[in-house]
Amino acid sequence: MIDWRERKPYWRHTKWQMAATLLPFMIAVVVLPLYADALNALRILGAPLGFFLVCHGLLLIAAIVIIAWTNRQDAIDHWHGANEDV
Amino acid sequence: MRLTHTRLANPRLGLLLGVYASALVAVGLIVLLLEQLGVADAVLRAGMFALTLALFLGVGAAASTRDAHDFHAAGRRVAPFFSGLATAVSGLGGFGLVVLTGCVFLMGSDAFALLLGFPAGLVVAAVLLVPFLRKVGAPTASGFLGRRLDSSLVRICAAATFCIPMLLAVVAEIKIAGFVGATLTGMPATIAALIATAAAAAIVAGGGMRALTWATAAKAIAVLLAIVVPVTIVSLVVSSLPFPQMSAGNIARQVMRTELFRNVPTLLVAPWVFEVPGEGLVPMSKRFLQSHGHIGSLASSLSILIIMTGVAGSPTLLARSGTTPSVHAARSSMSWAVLMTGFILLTLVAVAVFLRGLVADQVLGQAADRLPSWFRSLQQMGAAAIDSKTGDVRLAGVSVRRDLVLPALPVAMGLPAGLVYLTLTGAFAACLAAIGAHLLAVGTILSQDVILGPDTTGRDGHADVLVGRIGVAGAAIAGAAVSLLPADPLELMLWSLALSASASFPVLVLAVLWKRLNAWGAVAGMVTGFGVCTALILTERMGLSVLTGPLPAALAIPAATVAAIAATLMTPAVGRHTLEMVRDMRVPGGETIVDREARLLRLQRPG
Repeated sequence: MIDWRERKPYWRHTKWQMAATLLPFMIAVVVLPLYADALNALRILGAPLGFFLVCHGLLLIAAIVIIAWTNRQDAIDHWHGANEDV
Repeated sequence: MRLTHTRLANPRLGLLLGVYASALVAVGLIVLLLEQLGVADAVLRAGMFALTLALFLGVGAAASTRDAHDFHAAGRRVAPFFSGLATAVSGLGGFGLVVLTGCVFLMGSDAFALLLGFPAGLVVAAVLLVPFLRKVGAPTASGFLGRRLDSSLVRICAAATFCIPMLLAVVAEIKIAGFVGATLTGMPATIAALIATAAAAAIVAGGGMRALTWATAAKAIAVLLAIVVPVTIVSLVVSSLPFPQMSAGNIARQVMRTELFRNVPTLLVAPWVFEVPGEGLVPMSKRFLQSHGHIGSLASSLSILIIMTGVAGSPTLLARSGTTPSVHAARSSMSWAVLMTGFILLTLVAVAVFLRGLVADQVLGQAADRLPSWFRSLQQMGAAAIDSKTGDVRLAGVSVRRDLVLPALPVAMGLPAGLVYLTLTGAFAACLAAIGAHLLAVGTILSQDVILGPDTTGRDGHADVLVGRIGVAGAAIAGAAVSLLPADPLELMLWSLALSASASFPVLVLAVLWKRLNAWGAVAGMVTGFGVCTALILTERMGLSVLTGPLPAALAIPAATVAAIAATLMTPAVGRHTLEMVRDMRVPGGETIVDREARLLRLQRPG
């Protein structure tokens, strides 16, 4: 069980983790599709680069972001003793 | 030490689902076999439909329960993978499989404005909402708000504003299920829609969240088989590579070059324009890999953000957060959901790209009277048409029906009819999963938050379940009745996402991130968000505004946030009890808050 004095640092740490997870991801999701057409002249793995980045790239980024977040948030829980006793 | 009594997940679960998957594969193989033996087509279609429906109902019946904890939270023992799988499949639903595939085919790059919001919404929900809702453990999102703000006014207000987007979504899914069922069996769409609603309602009324979770896991297997098998075969034939998700990129490049060679026009619309293809046959008007031809640049960015917040704030998704054993498991279940959603979406994009590749390769620029035989099959099916019988075919002359793109690919590649039926069955299963999830969420909100309330003193668990069943039945009747009215499911779904983005998302996020938020702020936020969004949708329908599709939420979300903050700052601060609850909610360790309350009540009860 978490020590009550640890709750504030725990939440501060968690909030920074939330921001560090969501802000870059949301910027990528909004900005990348705007420039897809300009990148389509280049190609990667046989696919137009813009299409590849918006379709495969963003889904891959989403997967990496959420797996990294699960891992980091778990580490934060353990650091502050906020983890569950399962 | 575990303080709550929790049964562990069934250790034979993998085996049971393996048996079920084999049964499903067997049904598919038998249909293929009978087709080769010359059994009548109508018998095969009806058999496929009835057998798979019976399998889903069987899984649902096997998981039925009268225990309130099982009914509302599946006993909090669903493994993260299965919870994530169910979240992904019921989140995309028939809408994702049928409508989004058609949109990618018809709109090309523009369709990413509709697509990307789904995985992004799951990421946002995972980071901002799900762990905290799991810690509270309330069976509904409105119940969570009611507890967090310690107010029954908030609970009732949330219940009222959360039900509407879910009912819109359920109507959209019922309509898609009717269309897919009618395409599969040839019965009238209304009958197929009623069968789908009745089956989904029967499964969730019998076993609540427990039956929904296991039946959805079963349907997810059908969905994955249905979308992966045909397109993998197509990919092997076209590119000798059994990974359609990867080879689609190459095909997209070929489409780009062919369209350039054939002088297909580009099309640019104003930044705020948001146009999506309707239900009937829609002509293709621009190059596949050209953006902002149907959805302008500003509208595209806004639409991604709105669909993202709509998915993240969807009460149906959040209702599932309580089923996992722990907060950590809730987080990993969301990771699985993102992975599965990404995989399904990539596969659906591949379906659209392959079909577009066939059209660019074999139809575009050919003489209209000498088109390939597969195109004539699509015309007979009602999936495609050309505008003139003579001359060379131009891209703008080819019309395609949005909702038939998914089954059109196996037809166009000349695959056996059994595989076409397999695809349609998978789409129907996805509709059932989504209908069930929305019905259960509405039913639980009606029973737990409106009729019964959060105080469980002196309440019998069986009575709780009975009222839950009545709530599900009421939601099903309402959904089925509204679905008889004519409307485009895509439009309904976009409104549903816009409403849940503006009514529920801002207040839910503030409830987690801002300790100071009080009941008045929450009510003001929900009412403003819902009111502004509804008003803008109605003015757009009357032709007074240009904010089509989900765009009304672009004004409603900021309005809701400002209203919630302003009303909170103008009214007295929250009490110690609420602050203590917020601090408890933010820390994963310790007992689930709702379960602790129930345990303390049990201890106080005499005898």
